[in-house]
Amino acid sequence: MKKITNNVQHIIRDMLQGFQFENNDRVCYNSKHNIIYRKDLAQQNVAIISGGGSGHEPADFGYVGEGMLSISINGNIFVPPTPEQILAAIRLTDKKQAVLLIIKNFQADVQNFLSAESLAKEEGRSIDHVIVNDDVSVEDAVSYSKRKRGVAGTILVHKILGAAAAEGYSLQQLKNLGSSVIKNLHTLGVALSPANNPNQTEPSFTLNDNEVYYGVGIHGEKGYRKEEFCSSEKLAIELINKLKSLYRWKQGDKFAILINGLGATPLMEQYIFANDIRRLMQLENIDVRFVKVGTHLTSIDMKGISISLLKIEDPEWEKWLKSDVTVSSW
Amino acid sequence: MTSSLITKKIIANSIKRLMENESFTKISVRDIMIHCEMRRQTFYYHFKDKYELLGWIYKEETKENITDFIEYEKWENIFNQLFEYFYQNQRFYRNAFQVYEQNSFNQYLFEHTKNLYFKIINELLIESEIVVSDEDKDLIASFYSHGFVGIIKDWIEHNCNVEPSIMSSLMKNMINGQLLLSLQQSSNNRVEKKYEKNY
Repeated sequence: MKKITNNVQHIIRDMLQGFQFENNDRVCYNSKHNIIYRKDLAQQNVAIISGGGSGHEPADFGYVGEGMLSISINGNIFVPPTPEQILAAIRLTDKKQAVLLIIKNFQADVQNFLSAESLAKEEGRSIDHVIVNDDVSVEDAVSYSKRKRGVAGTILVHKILGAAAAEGYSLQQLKNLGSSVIKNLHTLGVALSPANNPNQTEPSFTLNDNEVYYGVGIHGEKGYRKEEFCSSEKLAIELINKLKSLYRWKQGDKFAILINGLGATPLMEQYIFANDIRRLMQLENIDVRFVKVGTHLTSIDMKGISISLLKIEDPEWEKWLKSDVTVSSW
Repeated sequence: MTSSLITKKIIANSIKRLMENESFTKISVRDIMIHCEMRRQTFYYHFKDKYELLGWIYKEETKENITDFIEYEKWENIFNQLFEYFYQNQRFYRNAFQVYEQNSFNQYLFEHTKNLYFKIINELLIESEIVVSDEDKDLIASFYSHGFVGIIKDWIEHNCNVEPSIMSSLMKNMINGQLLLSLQQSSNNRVEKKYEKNY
């Protein structure tokens, strides 16, 4: 497998330096702990910090900037940052600044972030967290409970909380807002081909050339059904039917939509899929208030797409989704 | 022009809406296409006539509501959803059942319900650690699916006068009680047959 890399050991460092080279007017790079942070960090009342394993670019460093994240901490490929890295990121903020951690609901991520949070509390810092769990694929074929990991919908959480923080929301207000948003956020995707992790020789799952795999996770976690590929419309119908069953929406309900390429999906295909979603939402008489299409939270070079829906319970959410930001990937 | 699945759905939605207040025989292709604001010709790119459209709705919606959920939801939730779906669409179905020229509803609902019963039977067998032959599984799944189709049709024809959640609970109780009993009996018969063979 050809990859535009050099020494595999230095992938994360090389990538982050490249990112900082592009954005050096507004972000800094801490090479010891693989942290990307805003130059104007000190100006914020509440610093918003997120991160996780690498391999999901542009998440999360692509969202560091005015109106979204203050800091992103970058672990190795599919491995969350250590508590030491996270604590180092927290220590970049002023002791008087409050800190909100946005954590994706993977066991190791939650463990490491919460461990860093408790260490920061011991230092006398004002810090709290929200845990994003938008993944509604199936955990296993016995319970059929939903997997509830943190996936692409996290980007909408970054956006809303980032905008609210910029507007002066307190730490407690941001935590409450985050919890309400997360309750209304669901994501489901489909893979056309698996990701090729540079650290592994084999892909995480196999698919025949003509097959798709519904519900695959961002690290190649099992999906719920493989079937023959037919058309973009068919994928859109399948995913919308599942999301509809969870929301049990009514005509006129307000929604925001994030359509997300999983790494190797051309924008042309993402927009074709978006057009199918547009027609289906129109048929359902859903009031779509916000749409974002693009490659936001990926699984390296997986071919596929996910759709995140956010039921808008408060008109302020729409305002915050639409507010201006200065980040590289929104 | 190649056909579009979503265009088919839009056309289907229009006839469903129209059939809530008008009998099938009185609705023309023109009425349907005026309702969905598309050219009349577009209809014929997708369907031969309105009978084919009706058959497509039966086929597509039973598949989407049953078989497509088998790997995604617990069977209890699929029943809840299914009763809710028929409850929401009861006016359309009451009207559609009068169309004797297109009576594929039973066939499609039976086919997909049987898939669901296979899932239920397999799960019950694993839980209760009993073994039943494929032949018996097929027979039991067919028996319950035919019963289910009949129950759904009666319920719709009687204006869905029992709440969907109650209907769903009745079905679930029946499965948890009698279906398991049928499986146990089949399993016992199997053992008896084996016993007879040995002696």
